[in-house]
Amino acid sequence: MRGKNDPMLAVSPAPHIHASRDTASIMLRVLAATVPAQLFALIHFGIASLALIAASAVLCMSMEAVTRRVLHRAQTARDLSAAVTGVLIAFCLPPDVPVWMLAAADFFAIVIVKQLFGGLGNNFVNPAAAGVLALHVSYSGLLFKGDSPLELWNNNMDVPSALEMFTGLTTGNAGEVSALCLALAAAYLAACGITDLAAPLAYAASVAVSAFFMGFDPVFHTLAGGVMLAAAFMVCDPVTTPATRKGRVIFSIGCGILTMIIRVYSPYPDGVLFAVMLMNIVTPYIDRWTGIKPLWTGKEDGR
Amino acid sequence: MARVRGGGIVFPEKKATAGMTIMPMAVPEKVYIPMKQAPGEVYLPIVGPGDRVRLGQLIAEAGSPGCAPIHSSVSGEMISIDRLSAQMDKGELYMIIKTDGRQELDPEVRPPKIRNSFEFFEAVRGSGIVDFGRNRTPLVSMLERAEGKNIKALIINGTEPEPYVSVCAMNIQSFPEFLRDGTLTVMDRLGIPSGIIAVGSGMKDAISMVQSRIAGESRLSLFSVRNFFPSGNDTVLIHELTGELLPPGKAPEDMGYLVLGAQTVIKLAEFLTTGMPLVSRSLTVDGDAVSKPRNVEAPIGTHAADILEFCGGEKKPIRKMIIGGPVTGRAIESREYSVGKDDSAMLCFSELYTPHARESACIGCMSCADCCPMSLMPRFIMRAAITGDRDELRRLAAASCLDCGACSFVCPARIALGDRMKYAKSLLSDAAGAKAAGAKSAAGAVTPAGRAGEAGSQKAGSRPSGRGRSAGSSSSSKKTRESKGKGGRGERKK
Repeated sequence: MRGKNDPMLAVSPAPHIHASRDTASIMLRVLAATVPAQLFALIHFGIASLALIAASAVLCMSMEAVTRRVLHRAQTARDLSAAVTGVLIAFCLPPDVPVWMLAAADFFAIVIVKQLFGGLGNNFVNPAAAGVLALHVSYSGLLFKGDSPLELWNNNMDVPSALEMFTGLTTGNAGEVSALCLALAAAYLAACGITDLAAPLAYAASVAVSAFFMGFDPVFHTLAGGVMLAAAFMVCDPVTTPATRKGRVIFSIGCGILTMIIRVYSPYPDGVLFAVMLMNIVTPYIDRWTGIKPLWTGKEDGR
Repeated sequence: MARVRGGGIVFPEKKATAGMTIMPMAVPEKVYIPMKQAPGEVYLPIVGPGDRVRLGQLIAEAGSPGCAPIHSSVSGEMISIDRLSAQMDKGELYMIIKTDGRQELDPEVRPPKIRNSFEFFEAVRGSGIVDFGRNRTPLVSMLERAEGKNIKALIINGTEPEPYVSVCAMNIQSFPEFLRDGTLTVMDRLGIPSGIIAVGSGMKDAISMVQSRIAGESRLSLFSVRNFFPSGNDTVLIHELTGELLPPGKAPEDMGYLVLGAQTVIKLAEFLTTGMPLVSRSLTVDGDAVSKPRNVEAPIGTHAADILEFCGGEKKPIRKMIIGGPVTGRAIESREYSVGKDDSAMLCFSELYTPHARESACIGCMSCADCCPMSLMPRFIMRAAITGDRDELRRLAAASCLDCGACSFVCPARIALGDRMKYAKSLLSDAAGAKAAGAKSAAGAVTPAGRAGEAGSQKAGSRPSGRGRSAGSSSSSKKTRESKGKGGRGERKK
């Protein structure tokens, strides 16, 4: 009596079922959260702006595919994280940015910051923030034309009203202008259970409080520049921020203080991306201080 | 599919087979009774080819301490003891019995006469009953371990948090008297003052049945355990019921609790009343590829194919068969799998479900930490295990991992975190062993690392140089390093 294996039966270790949420579905939800800001860009800046956002996403995904190919690694473009990075980069740049500059930012973010460090999950700073900052430090003359609310404020000129800033009817970067759309995004992501509202709120509050103590208008500073964009998408990016809620709140408070320090004490108009990147670097230390306390903390046997 | 709640996974409570009475299966043409049910077991067959066997007849005695005797699950003619090459555990022996369909009862099967503790233990030893859910540990071993220790309470584990599986609920529902009597018998014999029957909160009918049966019994209490995976784990269950935490490496008996499966005490009470040893197992047969999902009482040694036939055959081509629950069960590679004493379900799916094939990078979402019943952070433990940082693993309390696999289940990157956790634990036990007993025990502890996958085996190859140095003489340490180095290269070539 000899049995035989059934070639149709697959064998794998447990578990045999899996939660339905995977990386791609998380990234898809993040992309969905960017839709209100994209629609606002379409209405406010015109079709060219939306085209740039789409182009940036496509460029990022194709750059990721090519890099992975060259590095002989498995293709990962399907997880959509490159598309998220692409959209965020376009959001942080002016709506009329030249395509070559957009491509340069995408290249720096995807190839240098993300893929050369090992791809998704291994980048130690936010790729979108780093990509845009690379452009900022290289081509600040081309990027800053002196008409955004923060630059007006920096030059002691009249700034738009709080209502204009909240709805986004001002000049500014493609995805950053409308605080309302970005607040919607943060609320949507929290409702999906992907992020919680603690970090975004802590960041906005930290910027407001810092501004208040430095003697500036807290409402203006919370609504101006990239604060709301970073609150919705950057201070709660799981890869580059601390693991626990407590850690992310500390991270966000640090970001807020740094944002205001850079805005006030440096000639650089918006400190948000620098603040995020500087705090990204201390994330491992925050993680060490704020880990979840294990249920069992005794010494293990035999030690 | 599932919501994640602090410290566990909540699966939908609806099960297709819930409330389905356990149907005794028609006796198959042949049964193949495994002669080895767990590693290290030795059985001594006492019947030979051509012998006539009856239902409940002793056919193999326990040949090593950790195993329970085996009784015939059918009446018929013993054909041979042979190997079935298709089984997962290749080369194991099966006693093949051709059935006659009459299910003639062995005259030896009669209620045991028990006058004292010794006779009770001997009767339980002879019953072949194993504790369900505990890797087929004989019930008598569990009782002997608890005897003499100051046991505060007997905890009856009646939880069933995994999807699909409903036999435990059905067994409790069908035999609430047996559950009560079995619990009381064990308490009386071991002098345990109180008994806690813990039932999953989803089993409404079972709860009401038990409640009415234990109404007058002041020593027994019923607990409805909130329904989450892995509520059936000893450590989690004790923590849920008492708030006390079982340290890793300790058995519940060390803390004054004896935990037994609800189905175990039901079988025990049945044995004490009728004398029928453990010859059959109730299974939930479910999955999208089964025509008629139902709860089945199958003779031990029945092939999976026969059970499937009893359940109307396959509705869709089966691509995956799982013995046990979908989260912790194991996939079988052949329909000629013989039902063992400990199986709780047979699930047949038309989809492949091989999550490990699509593993991608960790994005740090911390779902794994959110669902960990021990509040561990598998993400960081995995990272520390890859770099072999034992101090970090100790800081993260990796040793308290329960191997429940909840982290593997939730991971959106589909990382087999459970395997990484096992590897992390092996690193710790490896280090502890090296300190305590020298290289010998450490070498033994390295072996499980092989299962932890590519990263694991490479690390196991490159790691031991440090241990070699601490072992003492320079020549021996050089030897260790050389041989391990070769092993490491071999690993990498693959």
